[in-house]
Amino acid sequence: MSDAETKLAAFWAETAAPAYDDDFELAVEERIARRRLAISLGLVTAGGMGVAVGVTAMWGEISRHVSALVGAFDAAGPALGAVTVVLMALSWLDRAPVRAFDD
Amino acid sequence: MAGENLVKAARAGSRDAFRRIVEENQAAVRSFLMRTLGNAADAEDIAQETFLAAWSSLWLYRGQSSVRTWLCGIAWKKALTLLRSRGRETRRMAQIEDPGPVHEKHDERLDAQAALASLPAEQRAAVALCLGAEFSHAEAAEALKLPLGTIKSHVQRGRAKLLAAFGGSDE
Repeated sequence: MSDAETKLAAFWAETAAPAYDDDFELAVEERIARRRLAISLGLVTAGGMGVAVGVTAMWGEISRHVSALVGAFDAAGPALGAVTVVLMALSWLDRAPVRAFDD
Repeated sequence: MAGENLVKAARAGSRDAFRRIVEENQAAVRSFLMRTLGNAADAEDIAQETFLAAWSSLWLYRGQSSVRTWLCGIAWKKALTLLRSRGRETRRMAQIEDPGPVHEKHDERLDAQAALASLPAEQRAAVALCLGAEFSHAEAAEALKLPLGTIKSHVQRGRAKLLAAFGGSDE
């Protein structure tokens, strides 16, 4: 091997990156984590937009069902109120007796 | 675990497998980029981007070349994009033509760096792979997506220039 070839070999050795660099590996992992987060956010956003578009498109149908449900609750209102009062009364009657003469 | 198996495992979601791919190939990719770009900061940035791109395109690896060759191919595409977008070639050539007072003292290492930097980008990359990282001509051709004959010619000419920088000749 000539002198120039030896020097060229030394040049390649000098300009080589270290075999392992912790900081580099961490930097790569950080970039991958950021990319993962971006992908997740993208999926959530796309999913949210899909739901929004679906709800908007079917709003007529949905509002009809919601109205029916609300109407049913409105009709049942007095009965539910009466049941609540009865349950409260039973609960009050069933309470433990007051111990007024403990001493 | 062989490179191909590591890629399969990483594709299946193993973070450890991908970490090992980075561990085993970071020196080759970073050295290649450092020699091709001639700038440590750019080389680090592109090397990180290379591994990120590899992570997102693991499914594209078919095992037709080694993982190292595949990664250097990705690195080369990114380096070429950077060189083209910034017109760095032109600026680097201008710096070589006018080295300034800092380079007045004769330094063979600087001469070799200048000689390497003065090579056209493709030739520099071929030299960096075949002479600097001991890639075979076929591997370099695969990584750089160039014909085998072109690689051989690039390496021969580049070697001659570098040897001349050290006061030798390619005989």
